[in-house]
Amino acid sequence: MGEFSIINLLSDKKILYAEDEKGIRQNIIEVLELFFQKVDAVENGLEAIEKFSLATYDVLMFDISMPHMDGLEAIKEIRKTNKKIPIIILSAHTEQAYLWRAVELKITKFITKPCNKEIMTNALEQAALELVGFNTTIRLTNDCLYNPYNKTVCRDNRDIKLSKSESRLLEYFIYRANESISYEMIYHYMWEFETPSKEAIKSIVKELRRKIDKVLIKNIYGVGYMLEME
Amino acid sequence: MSKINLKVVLVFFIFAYLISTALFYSFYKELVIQDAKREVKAILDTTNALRSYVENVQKPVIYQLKKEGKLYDEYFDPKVLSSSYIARNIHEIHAQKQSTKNETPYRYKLAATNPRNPKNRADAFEAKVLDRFRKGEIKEYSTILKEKGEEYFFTAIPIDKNKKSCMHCHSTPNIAPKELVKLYGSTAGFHERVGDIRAIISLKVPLSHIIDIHIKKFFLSSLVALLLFVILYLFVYIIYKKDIKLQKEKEKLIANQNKLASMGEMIGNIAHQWRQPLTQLSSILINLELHQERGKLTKEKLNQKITEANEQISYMSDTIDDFRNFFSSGKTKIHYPISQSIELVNHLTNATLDKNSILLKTEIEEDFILFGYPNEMTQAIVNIINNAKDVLIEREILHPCITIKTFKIDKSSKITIEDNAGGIEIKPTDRIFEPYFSTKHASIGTGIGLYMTKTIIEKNNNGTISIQNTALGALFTITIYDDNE
Repeated sequence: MGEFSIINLLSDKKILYAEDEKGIRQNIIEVLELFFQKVDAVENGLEAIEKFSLATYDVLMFDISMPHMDGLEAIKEIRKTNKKIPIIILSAHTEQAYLWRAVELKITKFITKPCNKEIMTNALEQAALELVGFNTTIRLTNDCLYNPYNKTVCRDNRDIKLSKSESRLLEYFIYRANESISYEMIYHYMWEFETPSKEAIKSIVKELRRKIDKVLIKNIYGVGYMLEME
Repeated sequence: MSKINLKVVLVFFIFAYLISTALFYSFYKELVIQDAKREVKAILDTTNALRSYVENVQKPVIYQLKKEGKLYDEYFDPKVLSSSYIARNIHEIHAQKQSTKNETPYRYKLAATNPRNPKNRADAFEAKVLDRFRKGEIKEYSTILKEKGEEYFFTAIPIDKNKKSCMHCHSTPNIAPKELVKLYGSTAGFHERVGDIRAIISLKVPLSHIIDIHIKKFFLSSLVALLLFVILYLFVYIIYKKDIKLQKEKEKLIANQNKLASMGEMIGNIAHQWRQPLTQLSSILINLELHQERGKLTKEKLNQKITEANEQISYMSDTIDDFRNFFSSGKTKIHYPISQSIELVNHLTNATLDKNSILLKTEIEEDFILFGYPNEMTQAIVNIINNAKDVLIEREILHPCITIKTFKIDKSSKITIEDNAGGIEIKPTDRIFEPYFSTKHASIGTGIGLYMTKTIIEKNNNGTISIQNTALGALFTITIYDDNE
């Protein structure tokens, strides 16, 4: 039942969805909630930018024509600081001018309204693929593989299931391999508004280290961590 | 539409014809008088020549006969010896012949202040003319005289100056022939002096007769002129009629174009109106399908989504009804409240206006009943709103807004449509009602929307439409008079 489908990669991810029509918004929220750990919805571009600045999201899905600030304007603003996040546009506009603007903004998928289930799930799969660099399995070390779709680590021919917070943190590390990641970045990504403790992070990292190769996650004294990969 | 007014042209043509005929008549009269003058002068000169013949040829023969004793000394007969008498009688014969031939009668007269024959006595006017000749002021004299309500052309020249030979009969009675004295008495015509001008000879011709000579030609030419004017007028008339026909065809074409344009606009509106419910329906279906696949579809959710979908479908059905009613143009005029038209305007335009965040406010201060085609009135207002919408978008107005108001003032019903786009920049503002006048880019403006609005309101609804700029933007005022039935 889709246990191994690419789309499951999203099950520990957060999406920000912007749409001004209430009836459409409610239905799409219900759909997105099937795939994502968390769905945040806003009514216009201004709210989207505000929300984006307060929390870290994994995927964005925006309508174009909305009051106050349209979707493309909002995306342009977001792209100034974030070049990587996958973005899906869901719009009634198919005019050339909009398409060109969208192309410049490196959009994952441009869905025209009204659409159907296949188009919708296909777009979400594309976003998911993008999140893991189109790899179905990620080789962490020679004898340690990670499968982001079913969130399992394969080590010494043994499958080890990761918890949601573990896989979420591990994918965050993989996404930023060989970069130093501060505790603050992790707080922001993992908990948003609650004030988490360093201990909570340390215990997740400890658990992760137990399931994967120990040497992968390096401590950087006084700063945070770094995932070393070739 | 045509700028030519046929009545004005006709009056102008008649006026031009009358003036040209009058000018032509006075020119003709002048010409005929000149002609008569030359003829009369020739006759008078001939008369003087005749007098010279009597004086210089005839008289010496008689005197010779007397001298030779072949004629007695006292002999005098004016028929032979008076040049005045002979000339007068010749003219009388001529006049008689003229009158029998129905020609212009020339009235000849010799006028003297000291006449031998009382017939030749100068009246006050002739005496005055004679005096001017004597003083040498003039060599000949022509004028138009008025006598008993008739006009005469009068020309006079003096007879030859007194010569020595004249003195035989005009100095003293005792030298003159006895029979002369016996015939005319001893006072009349004597005591003349050599070198004096004794008399004038004149001809008087009735002016009407002179003019009559060529009047047929005059009538003919004025008739030809009339004919020319009539042909010219007919020409103008034909061009005018053709112009009107063309104009009508053009208007028909414009009306068709407008229908097509508003059809396109309406289809755009329907597309906008439907996109939202269509998208909602599709999202409901995606929602149901995905929940079903995951075994998460509860009965409550299914029912709730079916209700939601039905709402959307009936909304779409209502929308299409609105548009269908709008395009099925009613064949008969009906009484309808203006609020009905404006409500329809609202339905037809709100999707497009919403999409562009334009607020449409309707304030029915007073509802009134109109008689006509409600769809036409709706179209007229929709055209104004579409125009305002395009300008609001083009000028990127911050809080775009269009306000429709209806109210009554005195005996007229008014509908005003105001936007806040900053007003019309063209001067005079009325030009926006001209066909094919557009400030917009060709892709959105055909330039006939407002022209059609004006036509609908002025031709079919007995109303007027005006435009003015307010502090906010453009204000259209439609006025319908109450006797509109």
